[in-house]
Amino acid sequence: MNQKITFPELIDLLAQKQRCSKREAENFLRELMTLMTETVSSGESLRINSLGVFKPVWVEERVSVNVQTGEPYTIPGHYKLTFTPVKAVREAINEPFSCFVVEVLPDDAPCIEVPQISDEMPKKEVDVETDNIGAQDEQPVVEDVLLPETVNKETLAEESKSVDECVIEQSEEVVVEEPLAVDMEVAVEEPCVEETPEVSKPEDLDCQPEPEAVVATDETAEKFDETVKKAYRKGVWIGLCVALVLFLLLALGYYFYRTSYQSVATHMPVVHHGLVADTIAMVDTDTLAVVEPLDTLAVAVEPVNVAEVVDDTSAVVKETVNRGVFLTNISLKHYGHKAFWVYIYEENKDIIPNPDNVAAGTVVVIPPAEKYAINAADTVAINKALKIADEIKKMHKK
Amino acid sequence: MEHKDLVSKLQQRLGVGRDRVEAMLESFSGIVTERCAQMDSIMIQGLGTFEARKKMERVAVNPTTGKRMLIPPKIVLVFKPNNAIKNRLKEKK
Repeated sequence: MNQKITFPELIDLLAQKQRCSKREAENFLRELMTLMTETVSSGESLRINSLGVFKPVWVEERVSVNVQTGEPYTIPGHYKLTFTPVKAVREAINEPFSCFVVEVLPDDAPCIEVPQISDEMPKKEVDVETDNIGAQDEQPVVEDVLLPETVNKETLAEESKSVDECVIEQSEEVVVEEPLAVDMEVAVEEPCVEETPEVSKPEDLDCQPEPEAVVATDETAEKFDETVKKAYRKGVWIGLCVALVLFLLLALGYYFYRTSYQSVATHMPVVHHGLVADTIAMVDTDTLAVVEPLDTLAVAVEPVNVAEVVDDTSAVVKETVNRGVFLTNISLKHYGHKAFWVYIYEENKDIIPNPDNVAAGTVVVIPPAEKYAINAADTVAINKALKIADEIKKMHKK
Repeated sequence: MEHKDLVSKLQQRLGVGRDRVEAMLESFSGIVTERCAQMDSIMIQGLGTFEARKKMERVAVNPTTGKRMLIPPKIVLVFKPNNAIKNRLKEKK
C-alpha cells in the first residue's frame, strides 16, 4: 500500500515470478528500460501489448501568465509523453471501483451547478407557477400566497388534533377503559345531542364489564386508531409539501428581488434618463412577471420603481460598438451624417471616457433625432454639431 | 515502435528466445499492474514512474445532446516520464 517500488525490488519480483536468476531478470529489465527510454525519447511511439502505448503528443503553444509577475507569456508548442494503458490493465487497476457506471442525470435534478443553469431554472419554475395561477387574473399571487398558508394552518390544526387524539387514545388503551374512544367514534357519525347518553353508557359498561361490549369497543377503537394514524400521516405529508412549496416560493421571490434590484442598481449610475427608462423597460418586460410574485411575497419596494419608470418608457435604439467602429460610423448609419456623433457622445458621456477611442463592446444609446433637432439635410444643424464637436475635442485636449 | 519490433530487438540484445522475451515482458506488465492495483508506485531509473491515481466523480455534459452525466470515480494507471525524457521531447520540434 502506497509503497514505492524501486528498481532492485522490481528485479526481485520479476525473478520470483519467472523463477529465474536475479541476474537474468536484471539483464532483461535493464535492456528493456534502455530500449524503452531510447525509443520514447526519440519521439517514437512504443506499444507493449500487455501494458499499453507510450506516445508523444504535440501540445499547441498557448498564452499563459507568469504567476510571480503577472506578465503574459506564451508557452511554446512541445511534445508531451502520454501513456494509455491497455483495457485489461485499466480494468485491473480500476477493480475496486468497477461497480460504478455512468449515470445520466435528469434535467431537473437538484445539484450544485454552474450559476448560469441555476439562473435558468428558477425562472422556469416561476413561469410555471404564474401559469398555474393565471386563471385568476387580477391578484393571482396574493391568493396563491394566502392559500397555502391557510391550508398549512388547517393541516397543522388537523395534525395537532390527530396527534391529540392519538395521545388520548393511547392513554385510554393503557387504562383499558374505552369510553371516550367510543364516544368520539359515535360523535363523528352522529349528531352531538346523542353524545351525553353515549358517554353515560360506557361508564355503566365499565362498572359491570360485559365481554361483548368490551370486544366491540376494542374493535372500533382499533379501527379508529388506524384511520387516525392514516389521517395523521396524510396530514404530515400535506404539511411537508405545503411547507416546501412555501419555502420555494419565498426563496424564488428573494432571489428575483435580489437579481432585479442588482441589475437596476448596476445600470443606474451609468446611464441617462432615456437609458434608465430603457433598462427598466427591459427589466420590466423580462422580470415584471417574476417581480410581481416576489413583492407580494416579501417586499413591496420593486413595484413602485417599476411603475414609476414604465410610464416614460420610449423605444430607445441601442448599438454595440464593435472593433473598428467609431461614433461617426454609427451617426452616419442612424442619422445620415457623420457630424451628429456628438449627440451620441452627449447621450453616453458616462460610459465613453474618450470619444476618439470607444472600447469595443460598449453598448451606446442612440438618442432619437428629434431630441437634438438632428437633420442631415439641414446645414445649420450640421454646423451646430460640428461646433459642439470642436468644443468636445478642446475639452479632451486639456 | 510496435510490440513485435520491441520483442525482436530485445531478442537480439539478450540473445534469448522469442518466447522467453514475451514471457518476461508479460510478467513485467503483470507486476506493474498488480502493484499499482495495490496503490503502490513503481519507480524506474531513467524512465519514469508508474502509479495509480484516484479520480473523483464529476458531472460531464454531452455537448451534442446537452445531457448531464455523472461520471463515477475511478482509479487510473498513469506514467510520469522522467525529467530527462520530458526535456528531450520538449526540445524536439
